Amino acid sequence: MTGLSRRLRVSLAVIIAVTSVLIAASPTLANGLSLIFPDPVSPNGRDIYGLYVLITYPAIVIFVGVEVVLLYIILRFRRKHPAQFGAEWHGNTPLEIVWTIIPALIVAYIALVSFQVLVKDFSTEAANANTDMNVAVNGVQFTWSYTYDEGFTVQNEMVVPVGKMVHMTFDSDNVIHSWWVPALTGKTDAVPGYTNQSWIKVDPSVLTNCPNGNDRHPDEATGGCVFHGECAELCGAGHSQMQIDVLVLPQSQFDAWVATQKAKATAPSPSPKPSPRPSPSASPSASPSPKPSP
Amino acid sequence: MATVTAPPPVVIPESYERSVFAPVTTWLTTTDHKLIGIMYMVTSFTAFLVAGIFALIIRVQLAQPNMNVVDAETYNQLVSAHGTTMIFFFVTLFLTGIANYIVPIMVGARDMAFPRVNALGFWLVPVSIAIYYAGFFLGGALNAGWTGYPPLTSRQFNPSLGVDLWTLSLIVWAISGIMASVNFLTTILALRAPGMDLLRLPLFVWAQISTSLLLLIVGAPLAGAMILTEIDRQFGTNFFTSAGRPVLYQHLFWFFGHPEVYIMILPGFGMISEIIPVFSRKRIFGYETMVLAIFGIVFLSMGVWAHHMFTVGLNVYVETAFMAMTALIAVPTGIKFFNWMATAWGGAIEFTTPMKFAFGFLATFLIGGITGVYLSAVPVDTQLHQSYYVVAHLHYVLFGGSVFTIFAGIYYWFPKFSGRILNERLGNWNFWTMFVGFNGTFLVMHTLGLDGMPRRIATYARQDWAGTNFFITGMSFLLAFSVLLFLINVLYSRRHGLIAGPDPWDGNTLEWATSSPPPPYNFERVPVVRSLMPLRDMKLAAAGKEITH
Repeated sequence: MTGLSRRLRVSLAVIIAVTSVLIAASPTLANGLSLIFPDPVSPNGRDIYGLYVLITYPAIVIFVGVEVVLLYIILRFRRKHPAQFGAEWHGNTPLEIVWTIIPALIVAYIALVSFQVLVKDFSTEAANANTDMNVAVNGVQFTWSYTYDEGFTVQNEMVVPVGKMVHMTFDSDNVIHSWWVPALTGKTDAVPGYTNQSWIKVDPSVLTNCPNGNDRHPDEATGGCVFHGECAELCGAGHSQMQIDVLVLPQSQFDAWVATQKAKATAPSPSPKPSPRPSPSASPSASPSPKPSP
Repeated sequence: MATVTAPPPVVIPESYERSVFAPVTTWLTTTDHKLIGIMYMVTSFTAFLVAGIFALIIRVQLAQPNMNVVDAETYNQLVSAHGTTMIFFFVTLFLTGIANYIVPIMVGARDMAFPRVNALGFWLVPVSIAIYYAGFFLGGALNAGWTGYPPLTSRQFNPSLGVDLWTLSLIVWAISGIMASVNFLTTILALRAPGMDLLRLPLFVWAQISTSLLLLIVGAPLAGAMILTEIDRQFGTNFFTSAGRPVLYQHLFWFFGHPEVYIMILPGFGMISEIIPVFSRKRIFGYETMVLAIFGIVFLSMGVWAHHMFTVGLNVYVETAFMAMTALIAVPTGIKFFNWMATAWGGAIEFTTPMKFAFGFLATFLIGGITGVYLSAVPVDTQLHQSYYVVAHLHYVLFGGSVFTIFAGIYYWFPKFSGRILNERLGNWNFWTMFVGFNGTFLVMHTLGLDGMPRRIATYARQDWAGTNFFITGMSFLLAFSVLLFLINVLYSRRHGLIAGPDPWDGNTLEWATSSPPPPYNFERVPVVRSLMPLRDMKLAAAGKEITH
């Protein structure tokens, strides 16, 4: 018994030590500790968020249930004296059927709901339905370029209007990149050789509700909201510098921005069709912006 | 016994015995599965220490935003070497080492079926490791992550010799693995002791059968992917380049890569299935179901590879099929988990260090299993893929899973390897520092991924990630400290540990029926097996008790 109690004392000491370290560290930790994705601002991102919450219910039940049973076993079934043996039984078919069927049903349900979300938001049909505008995203080492329907191309920052179905295509002529802005939706790879698709439709509410945070912040020049992300596929030494910014504007300001970009693109070199490489003057500065909207 | 009788033994000149080279030549020329097993373990554990130091450098680099302890290129090389070393050179090979030592004895064989192939298979390992690491001295090792996706590994974007060395290294590794697999399968199927039916095989042996089958099947696609990568680089073909089909590489690589996950965990499952019954003094619960579950995992594991590719733009119905298979694999894994719990339930448990690691495994692997279900759901995966959530998940299954079982296995079988028991007090400290250090490092890491931190970035600018990253780095040093305690324990106990005797744990299987360490021929008389627990039968028979099955 003394052995046991000493063991318990050591365990308790460790648990107390860890807890106190965690509590001591919590002010610094609290900032970056998120138990779920950033608030989604596009319907597909919202569906992913909902699915994550849905999986969390059985996950918590199973996690807590199993850990509690493990603790119970640890405390209850200790060897009391050296000659003690365990129980003789070593099988129970109904029980085994139960813990085969129940997990199977849970994962089948999760897969079913996932399938519905998949078809609704991630199929090619979904990406092409009700499209209001297209943006062709091209991954380069180590930045992104965005080509619009009007034929001009911008780098660094993508600009979209609120409330519009933006159909996005992803491509690369070098290595694989992955375009990921967590607040909008999941990531899509830009793979050389073929074109991937996705879409976003940003809620108009972001124009009034754009907290100054780390993954989003109001854009001072335009009053729009900027969402932040990073390249998610290792693409070389500059991988960590391959940042993504998406500026969301009201329609009117967006239209003005498009007009400015078109003017810029046509002015210096009137090339006939969308050139993938914009002339230096075409690439916008950090603040792309038509201040006074018409 | 060999020295006593008639035919004059091979005379070893005294001068040779005294020679300092004697131990060297013994190790260099041996075909004894036990010595080869030890060489596998020592080599791969050394790789573990090196890759662990890489991990610490990575953690120091990420401790604060915008750090520049190493530059981005070096960082990429360290990340790639950490992954490659841990997966190919440590976990897989350490498990091969344990199995090399234990499996032949467990089935009552005198050695592996092909002892020289066994030696060759082992000696290819240091060759493979040396080829990979030569990159560091020849202008830079692989820098594209352990997965080495083209076109980042194509000559156009990566002239580094390190990539060529990596492909060659893994080809050699795959050949070595295939040799070992053939050897294990033959040994287990052909050299079993009399009476050892397939359904009397210990679960660790079943696990080794499944692992060997998997490696036999998927080793070739890995080598194939490496060969095509290299042909692209040397002869200008376009299998995987940006003018070819980079995604084809991903299919080939993950057709190896996902079963590899099970190659690294199934032997661990096997060890847990040995350890829990022994220290609970209770029979394994649902033996037949456990065997079936292993093979359920084997078959499903070969049909889930594309779940590593949910963001490359596969057709949604293809993704659905892979999602269903992936989710389904939770079922046999769950069966094994619940059966272990049922084995311990009602037992008379003694929490020795191996048992602590076994329960530590159960407590942490559960988390890896649950996060795996999140990742199987395609839409959720598009958010979590390539983020620190995945890094946390993979460490929960690889470290919380495989490495905890490896430590359980070492503490359990060290007495057999060395004749001495590892110190329990140091073992206790080893376990608790590792348990706390591991969970401290990787539990909060999930939140970084949820918050948008991609994996494999050399640095980051966001200040709100600083606190969490700093905490993780601190905890990673506690984890490293636990490994240091383990090393001290091994060095101390191999000279000063308690004498183990043949059967220190009151075991059930044949490896405990012979001396510690066993003689070169393993058993003086090959035992006859009548049940799943032959040693227990012998002990009961010796005590004059009735044997019930």
